[in-house]
Amino acid sequence: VAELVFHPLLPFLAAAGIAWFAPRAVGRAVTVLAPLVALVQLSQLDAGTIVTTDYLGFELTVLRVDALALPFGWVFAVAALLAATFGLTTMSAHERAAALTYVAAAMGVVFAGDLMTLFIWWELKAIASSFVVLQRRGGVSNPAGTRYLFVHLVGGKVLLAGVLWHLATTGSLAFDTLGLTGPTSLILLAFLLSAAVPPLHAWLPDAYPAASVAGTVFLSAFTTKAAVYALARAFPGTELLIGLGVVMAVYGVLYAMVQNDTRRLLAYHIVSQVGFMVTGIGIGTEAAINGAVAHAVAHIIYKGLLLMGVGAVLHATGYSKISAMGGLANRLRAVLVLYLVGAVSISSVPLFSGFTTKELVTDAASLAGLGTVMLLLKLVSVGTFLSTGLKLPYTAWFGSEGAGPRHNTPAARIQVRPVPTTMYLAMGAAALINLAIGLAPGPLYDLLPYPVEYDPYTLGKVLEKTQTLVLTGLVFWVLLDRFAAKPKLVLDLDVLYRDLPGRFVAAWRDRRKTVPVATPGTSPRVVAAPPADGAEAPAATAGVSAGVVRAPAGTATMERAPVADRATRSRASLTTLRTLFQVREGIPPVPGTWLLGAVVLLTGTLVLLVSLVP
Amino acid sequence: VTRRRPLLLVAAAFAAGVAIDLVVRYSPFPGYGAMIGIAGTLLIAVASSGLTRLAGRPEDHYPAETPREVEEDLRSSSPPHAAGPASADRPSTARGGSRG
Repeated sequence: VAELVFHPLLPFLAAAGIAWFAPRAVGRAVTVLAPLVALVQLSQLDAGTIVTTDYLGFELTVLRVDALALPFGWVFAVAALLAATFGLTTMSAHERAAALTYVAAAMGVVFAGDLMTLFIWWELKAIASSFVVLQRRGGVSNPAGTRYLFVHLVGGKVLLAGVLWHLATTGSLAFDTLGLTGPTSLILLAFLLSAAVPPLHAWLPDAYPAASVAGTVFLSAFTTKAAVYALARAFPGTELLIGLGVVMAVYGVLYAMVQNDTRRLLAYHIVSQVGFMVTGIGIGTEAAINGAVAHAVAHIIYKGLLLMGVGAVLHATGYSKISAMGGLANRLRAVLVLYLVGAVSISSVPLFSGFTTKELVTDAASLAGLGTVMLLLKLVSVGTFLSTGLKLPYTAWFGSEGAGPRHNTPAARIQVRPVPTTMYLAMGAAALINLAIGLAPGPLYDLLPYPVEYDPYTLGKVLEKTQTLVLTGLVFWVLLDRFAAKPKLVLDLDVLYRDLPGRFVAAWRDRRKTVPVATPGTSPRVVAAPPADGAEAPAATAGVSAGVVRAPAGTATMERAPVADRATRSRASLTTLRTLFQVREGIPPVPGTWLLGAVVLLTGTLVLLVSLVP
Repeated sequence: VTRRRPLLLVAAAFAAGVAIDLVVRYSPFPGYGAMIGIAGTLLIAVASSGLTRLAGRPEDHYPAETPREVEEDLRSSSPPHAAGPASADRPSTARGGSRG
């Protein structure tokens, strides 16, 4: 139990409490100190360390250290250090506390040795990360964070249902290779949701760009990668994951190409890159699992760098819409250079991190005889280079204005404000790590769960990749106009819970306005109107006054039959349907989200109850 | 003329790729890597164009969440650098946008 002191989540939890209550300077200090302490703890933990405890008659493994967990633990601590440094001057105390809790929970997931411990940290991770989004307290963070929270709470309920059902059928809470059965399919579903596998992915590009600049960097590192870890732990070699991973990679890269927001574009690339990892886990060979883990490590670092790059631009200018940017290269030259290190890393350019990790997955697909999968992943790599390495830097930093003025002038369309030193420090460190992994991948390969028999730097591999990248760049140049950013929103599957509930409610309101008002229990009737000369007209039906509608004076009237009543209602229904597909301005998204959230939470609870039935 | 030069460069680079592959003999066929680059870019250009046509909507599709031109709450509160050769890229210790 003494080894529990070395659990890497403890410094983050302690720092979260301190950051919430302590003065600002102390809060900042502990935010950077916590990851450093975690790194020291990790250096003291050996693979094979297990700490168990009894709770409510269950034996829970609160700390399990092994070859699969350690790489994730290391990279989570490094990512937390980079993100904390990046946001040192911009994050609020509450945002810092939420981010630290989020990292602690992600660490808890990685070092959980049983499904119940996993579930507890999984839920805390979902809640804390929602608060990371919400703590921006501006822009669209409120509705996007609320939607994010509901999606992940539903995912948590599905996970709990699966865990309890699995416990009921097998009597085991062990978090090891589970295999695909009825109960574990619910667990798999929860992991897929958290890994942002289409069609369960829309929460990611919806919420991540809505957070603060540092909040997005935190978010990019932990949620999807914790899910990748969970998939690698519980479902290696599940063939379904190969198809899902490839779909994910293609889907993410296509949607990234059509985005007009820098952070949203990069968010779609998280979906795409996690697709490589999910594919590797689906292939399930030692080489493929190594590839998935190595790519997760590299991805966390270079994606953090990319988001820090565009975050620094956003911090300096206030701009994130690509079509509105340009002319910044001269004034944000260092940010551009650091961003480009991330861009070439994600694009698998030789000598940078992506080349030594992503190619592990494609090579594993080739070795497993999955030629089509390998080809599709290579095409996806082309798309990654196109959007992150060419389109985004070209249009955001240069665009039609070229490199722009060398310094701020009154005539400059975009005024550039200073970028804090701590942001440069974090970006510089991330760039160095990317370069180090690219130049000498050995230490990373040594961290992987299985021995690595792979040399990325053979002449053939380097030349083939270089040809692909050069030709991609040249064809991009030819088609430059086609790749211009357009100020458009491209609908994704979040339309199902952002648009439709609002339309339903608007249509329902419209229907209520259309149907004649009547007292419950009576049909609306029209009775004879009084004569035009003002004489009193006899009542149509003695003793009945409720539900009576008087026709205009002097007009011929008749009592409406029930058939007419039904016709009115049917017309109202038609109007409802019409409105459903025409209304553009429904209710605000938050109430719609609450409505949908209530429905899905109820569904999750029902699934949970069903799972409890023996 | 402006269009021809890049196309000539593409053709030249492709030819060079084929020649290199004939010597190195690593790829499944000569020009494989170059083909992936060309075909991938064209496919993605066509597919992304189709996707925009299919699912593209005005930016104010969600009226309450229409993206703003400038996200003021995320912009540094420090004043822009004065005009001068040092430029805005000079690192600053300013607490831009400091909230906590």
